[in-house]
Amino acid sequence: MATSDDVTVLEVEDRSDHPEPGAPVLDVRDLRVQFPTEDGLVTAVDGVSFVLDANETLGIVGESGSGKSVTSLAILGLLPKSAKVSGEVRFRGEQILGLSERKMQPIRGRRIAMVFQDALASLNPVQKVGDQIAEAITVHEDVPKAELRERVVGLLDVVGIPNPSQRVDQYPHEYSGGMRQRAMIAMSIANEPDVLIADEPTTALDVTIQAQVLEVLERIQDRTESSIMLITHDLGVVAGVADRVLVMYAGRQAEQSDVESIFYEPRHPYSQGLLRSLPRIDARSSDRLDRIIGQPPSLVAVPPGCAFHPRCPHARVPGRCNEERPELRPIDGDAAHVAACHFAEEIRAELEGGDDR
Amino acid sequence: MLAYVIRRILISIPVVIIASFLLFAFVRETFDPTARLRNVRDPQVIQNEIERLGLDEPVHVQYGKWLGEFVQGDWGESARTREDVTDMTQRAFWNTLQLIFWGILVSATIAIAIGVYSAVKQYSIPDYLFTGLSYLAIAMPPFWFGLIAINVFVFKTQDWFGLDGPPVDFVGLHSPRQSGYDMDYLRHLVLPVMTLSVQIVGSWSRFQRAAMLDVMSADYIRTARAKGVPRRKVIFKHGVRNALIPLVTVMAVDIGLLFGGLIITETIFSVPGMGRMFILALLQGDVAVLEAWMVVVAFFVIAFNLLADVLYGILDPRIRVA
Amino acid sequence: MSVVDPHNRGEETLRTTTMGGSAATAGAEVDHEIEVTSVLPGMTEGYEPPVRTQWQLFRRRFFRHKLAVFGLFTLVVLYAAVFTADWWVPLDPRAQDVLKGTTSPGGENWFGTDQLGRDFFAQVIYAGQISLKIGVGVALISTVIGTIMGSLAGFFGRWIDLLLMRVTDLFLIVPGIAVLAIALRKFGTSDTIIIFVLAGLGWMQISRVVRGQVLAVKEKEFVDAARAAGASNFRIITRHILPNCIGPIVVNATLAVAFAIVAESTLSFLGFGVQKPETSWGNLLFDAKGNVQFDTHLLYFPGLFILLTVLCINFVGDGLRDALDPQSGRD
Repeated sequence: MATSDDVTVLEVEDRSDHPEPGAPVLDVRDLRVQFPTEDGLVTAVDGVSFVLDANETLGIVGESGSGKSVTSLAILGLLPKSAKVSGEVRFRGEQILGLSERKMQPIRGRRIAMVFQDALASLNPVQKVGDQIAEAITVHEDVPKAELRERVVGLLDVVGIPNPSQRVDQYPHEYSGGMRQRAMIAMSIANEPDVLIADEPTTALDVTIQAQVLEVLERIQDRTESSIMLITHDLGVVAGVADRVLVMYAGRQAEQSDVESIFYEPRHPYSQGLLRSLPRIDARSSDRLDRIIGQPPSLVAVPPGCAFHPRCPHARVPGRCNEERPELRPIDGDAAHVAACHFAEEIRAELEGGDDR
Repeated sequence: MLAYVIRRILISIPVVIIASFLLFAFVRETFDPTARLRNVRDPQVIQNEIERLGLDEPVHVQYGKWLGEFVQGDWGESARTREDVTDMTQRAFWNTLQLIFWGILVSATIAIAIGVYSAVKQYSIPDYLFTGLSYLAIAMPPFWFGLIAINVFVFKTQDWFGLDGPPVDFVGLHSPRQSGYDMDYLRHLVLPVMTLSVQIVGSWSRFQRAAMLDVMSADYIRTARAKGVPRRKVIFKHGVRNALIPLVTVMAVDIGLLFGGLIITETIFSVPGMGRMFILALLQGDVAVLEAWMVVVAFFVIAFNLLADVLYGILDPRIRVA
Repeated sequence: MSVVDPHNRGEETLRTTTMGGSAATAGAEVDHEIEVTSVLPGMTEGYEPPVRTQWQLFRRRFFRHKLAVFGLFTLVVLYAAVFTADWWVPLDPRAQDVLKGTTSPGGENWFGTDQLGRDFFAQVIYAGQISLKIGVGVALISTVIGTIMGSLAGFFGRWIDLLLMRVTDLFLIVPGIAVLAIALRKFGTSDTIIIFVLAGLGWMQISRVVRGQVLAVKEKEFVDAARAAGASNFRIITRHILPNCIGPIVVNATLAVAFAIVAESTLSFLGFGVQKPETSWGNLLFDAKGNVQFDTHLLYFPGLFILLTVLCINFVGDGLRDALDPQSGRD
């Protein structure tokens, strides 16, 4: 695979226009998104806060309906007009939530870029892939035609598309699934964004391609020092790539910590459930995977108290679990490891005391 | 692409043949080609005419003979005017083609503009206004609209503004002894094209609005916005371009309806085209003209569908390969 | 996909399917991420979305469509008024007053009079009897034929399907109005004949719709389940497939009324439809054709009645479409 070191795009640009040099790249505080529906206001994201530092990868994990994609769309201001959004999204210290379209445009694609889930649907079917990547560049800067093409071919090469100079003139339907996803990534890194939001970038792909795409993401991060928000339902994907993890359930944060802690000391019963449902190499093939019983709640009728209590094996119902909504709080005095469970300590003691399967 | 077009033409030939046979049989069944000899008392004369026209043979034999002559360009003569049907049809078709051309051009332009605007400004006052108007346009019988248009734009307008003459004309495509494509022609075109377009604009604009709304909620539009593409450019470069694809299909289906509209329009505005030729032939049982009419119209509709398919392939690269 | 036939079980079991439908409408516009997932019974007792039966949902959706309600109300009034004309219309539509001649609306002649001095209001109302009768008659007959043909073609496929599709293709390439005009010349122009001729052309639209629905529904699991339980083809079609096509059938039957009224008026206007002394709205407009410059009341009133009727039918059709088949709505 040609990793041409001389591709100009990938030279790190001097970004001296940061309003607050010490501020994290992205600082999301108490983000809340609601949609009006037939059955009333649905809260898709309910008070989510997190920080994304430079060159860091944050994994956001949750089942569908947990609000992860809505969170990312809210950051870029891409939600439909009917959505009610509140809270703060600070990009390098500057509040970007609620900015006008005109003020968001220079940020989108240039400072914060996004890789979408379904690459086939996310690429314009009637435009050549190369033209679509080129557009990502030309909306932000004027580039002469010949140079533009060279840059686009370079980008396709970086993400590992074979024969990039021919592929550049093909349409999305002529690409394979994995190539489309790479083309999406090429498009998103065209301007070396500070933040790359990847929404389930590997979900539609088979396992070998998945690994390749993740590798491309990592390689690009090494080059551009972008911060990556990796959204996925698959803890396995997060394990290899992320530095920190945010677990979401029913639009709320369940747990947040560095990646090791999530895998070795999960504090929220939901995270524990997710972890137990992962296939493990050391398990025998006859072992059945544990699964979390039941289904995620309808956002129209989120259970009172802890949203997870109807499915939680440790729930104390009736009691605090169905009466009082748990706050996100540090567990074991570790400020970097927070979970929203009333009984996190007790459950942990229970698990350690009992037979840890 | 070329192979595809040729294959489509070959497929449509049997369709035209079957359709024209059924219509031929139906028309022969319905009308008596010897009707103009009704007042002739001598049965021998009628018998001679029947033999001359081959009416004593079974209908499929008659059809075979007719088809053979038709393919060679001999379309028979009109029982009404004794004119050569080939010439008649040619003249009528040219006039009709002009109406079709302007009708589709005007309809498509207005419908696309309204549809895109309504979709982009969904639930705005103009959107509601256009929606209301399109409901009216779809529910309005075109012939009634034509009559009202004459009443309002020819007579009432003249009264209201105290004009010396009517601002537009409503008879034919040209004034007597004129044939140029000038102001006179335009003055004659306004009302027929309006009448022909009103219902089509109503339904196409609704369709275009729905298609545009559909496209604007597509993932690739979100991608374009995420790239930082300005709204206007998202709408036109990514939105409209994709929303035109389904409209082409609808246009192809509606071309048959357009001929129905032409019959009405040409009758109201006395345009000497295919529609009027059909009505006159039908009223007088002019078999040769009716048969030629059917085949020409069927062929035109198929040709138009083919054109739409080609256009579809140009607009959508996914079809090109398949 | 559930193996529960949504039309063939107790209404209590309906909630999962129906809720999915309503959520899809909201979800489509917002984001696929926030689908409102149905709740497993027993798991989250007490937190289920509000339960509604099919019929409640239908009524709620239909009556929320203000124009549809307006349309339905107007149509009911119109039909009632037209068919009870004998009892309440004050003047005789046939009573001539040649000396009076054409007069503008006013006085006892609410819509004025025609060239022979006949009351035009009475004429329009009585003409409505034929127009509206043709509308409903055509819709009923073409729906019955179309449903039978469509379900046979969709269910059995093979030659009957092929035949149906080819016949429909034929009619796509020849303008319907031309075929109708020729047919009426051949068969005559009494209103019964007009109804049958229009229905003879109108059923194809419905049969295509039904065919498509049947093709979609017959692959569903509950049909397999019924077949496995030993149900006959007839029973499967009438008990399992058709009830699931009822939405599109009803919508298209409604629109067929409008199609028939416009088609009849157009044919009558061209001189091939209803003949004197019978009158329909199209027929009255045929008479008005010569008086476009003056006597505009003769032109406006019959047309307005057609317009109002068709408009209301389309509104009701829209309302039914939204209420019966929320996913298929065009916007």
